[in-house]
Amino acid sequence: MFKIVFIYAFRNILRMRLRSLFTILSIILIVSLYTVLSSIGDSFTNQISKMIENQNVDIAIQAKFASTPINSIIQEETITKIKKYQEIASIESILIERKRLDDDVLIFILGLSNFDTFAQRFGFSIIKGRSLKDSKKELVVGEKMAKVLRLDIGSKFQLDNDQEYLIVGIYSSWLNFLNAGLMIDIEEAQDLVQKPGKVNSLFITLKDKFQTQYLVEKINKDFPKLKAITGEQFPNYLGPIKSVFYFSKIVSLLTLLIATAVLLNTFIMAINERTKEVGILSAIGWSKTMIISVFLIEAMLLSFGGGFIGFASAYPVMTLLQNNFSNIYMYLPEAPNFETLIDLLLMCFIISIVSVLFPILYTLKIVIAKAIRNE
Amino acid sequence: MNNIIQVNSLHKVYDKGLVPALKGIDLNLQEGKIYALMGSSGCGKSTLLNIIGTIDTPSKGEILYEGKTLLDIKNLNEFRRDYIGFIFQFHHLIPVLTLHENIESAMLSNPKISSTQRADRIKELLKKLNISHRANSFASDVSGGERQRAAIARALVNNPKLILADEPTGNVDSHTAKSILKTMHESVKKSDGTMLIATHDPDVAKIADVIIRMKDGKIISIN
Repeated sequence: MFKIVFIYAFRNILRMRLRSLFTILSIILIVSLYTVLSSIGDSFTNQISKMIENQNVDIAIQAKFASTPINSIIQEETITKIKKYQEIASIESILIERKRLDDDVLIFILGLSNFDTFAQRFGFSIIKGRSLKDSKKELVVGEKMAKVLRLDIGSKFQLDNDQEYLIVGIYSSWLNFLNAGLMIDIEEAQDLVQKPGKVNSLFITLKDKFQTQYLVEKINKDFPKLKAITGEQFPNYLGPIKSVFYFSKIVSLLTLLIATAVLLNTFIMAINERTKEVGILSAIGWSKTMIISVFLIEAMLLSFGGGFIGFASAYPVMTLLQNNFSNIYMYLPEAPNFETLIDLLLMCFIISIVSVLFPILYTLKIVIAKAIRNE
Repeated sequence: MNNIIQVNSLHKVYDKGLVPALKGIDLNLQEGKIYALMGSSGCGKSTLLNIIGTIDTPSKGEILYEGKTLLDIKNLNEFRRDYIGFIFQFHHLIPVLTLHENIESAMLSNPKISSTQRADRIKELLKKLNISHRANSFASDVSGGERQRAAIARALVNNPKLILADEPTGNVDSHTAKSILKTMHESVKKSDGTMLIATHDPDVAKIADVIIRMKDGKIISIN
């Protein structure tokens, strides 16, 4: 039984070659777009989450209403007061700033209170040269930034403040976006971005981890403009993670809707053209399930066919983006991830089901004699 | 002979009662006979055929199939597949299927028939209807007569007790029409089935055992 049902469905796709071709092309484009965007989004989210998880931080502090770490400002006098808490073993601070260079390359500037501690926590290592020492006017650059801007050890690098910095090291991190940045001493960063004494975030390690919750509540009470959270809560609290997460979800929902609309339109036309055939098949004893199966197989062939080709076509698209758009270089993974493929399979299945709803409804309430008379 | 179909006070109206198509039809069809249902266009022949064939519903009245009403039949699709064979005026083959696949499509949902039995039965019918050489051709690639023969094969393939034919020769030339009628007659007589043919072609009536004449939704004579 399945053989004829499948043959019938497959030949129906071939019957309207041009329409099927445009339908499948639309799905390929939609899926390709979805794959590229969600792979970038997932990659970015994973990188940030992984970074946070590996930090071994008991308490993280940001400004209360900051939407992103970059927007968070903590004043110098506040930092001084927090440092006086007895429970704290060590406190590190970070200042992050985005900067667009003259040649349109977007980089991160990271001002660090202690390079080696952050290197350990953020999982990056010096692959050439040395790390930051006490001496001023030095910086280390990420390997991608060095590659894009053709920088090497001993090169001089000038930023906005007309000061020249000596590149003393090149680092590499498993966090893609960190590789497209530079790191300098926090005081120099404060001077560079004109935020003297200010930092974005504080990371606290406690003498006794059991006091984490107590100190979080205390800091939130003592400093109403700050938001202290436990290290475990930090990934969820970070603005970019939430934004990228919601961005991915909105993109997938939109692509799902567009693909469904394309396929639904195809099947509305199909059912109008094949009303008589549905009537004839019902008259010769085909059950409603068999007739619906035909439309479902057609929808699955189109959506899964388009889905797989679209996923495969995302590979060259991502290579193309990596090679030609260096300002988004930092966010791009090298290939689509397979989690996206699983999402896609689910998405194709949902599209197939939704797009045949109209034929299903039609088949369920068909008056066979009327359908056969249909011209 | 047994009554295979018994139609009692059948009414059918369209457009919310504004257009009456059948006005109280009473009719018995006996096993093994060929009936010609004659009358001018719009007299209700096709409507009666469709209602007997369960592809349309009556507004009033009932039909008994070997004594059973439609309410006694659990699965209408299976009933149509096993009990009724349809032959339409315009062959109504599925254009993307070959003649062989079109005939097979009528047997598909029957789990009682194995694929070997299906293949044997189709082969036998194709041979009998002289279209074996066209088995793998699509409907658009064969002549009108061959299409109609394939449609007849599709109607006969499940050995139905009742064959309903709506103007089966209405769309072919007279030579092909004679050949088709001969085939239908032989097939029905051999299988001891019952056939009801809606037509206004007097040549079709010649193969019938009983001629039923209709006018304005009523039966005016049976002889």
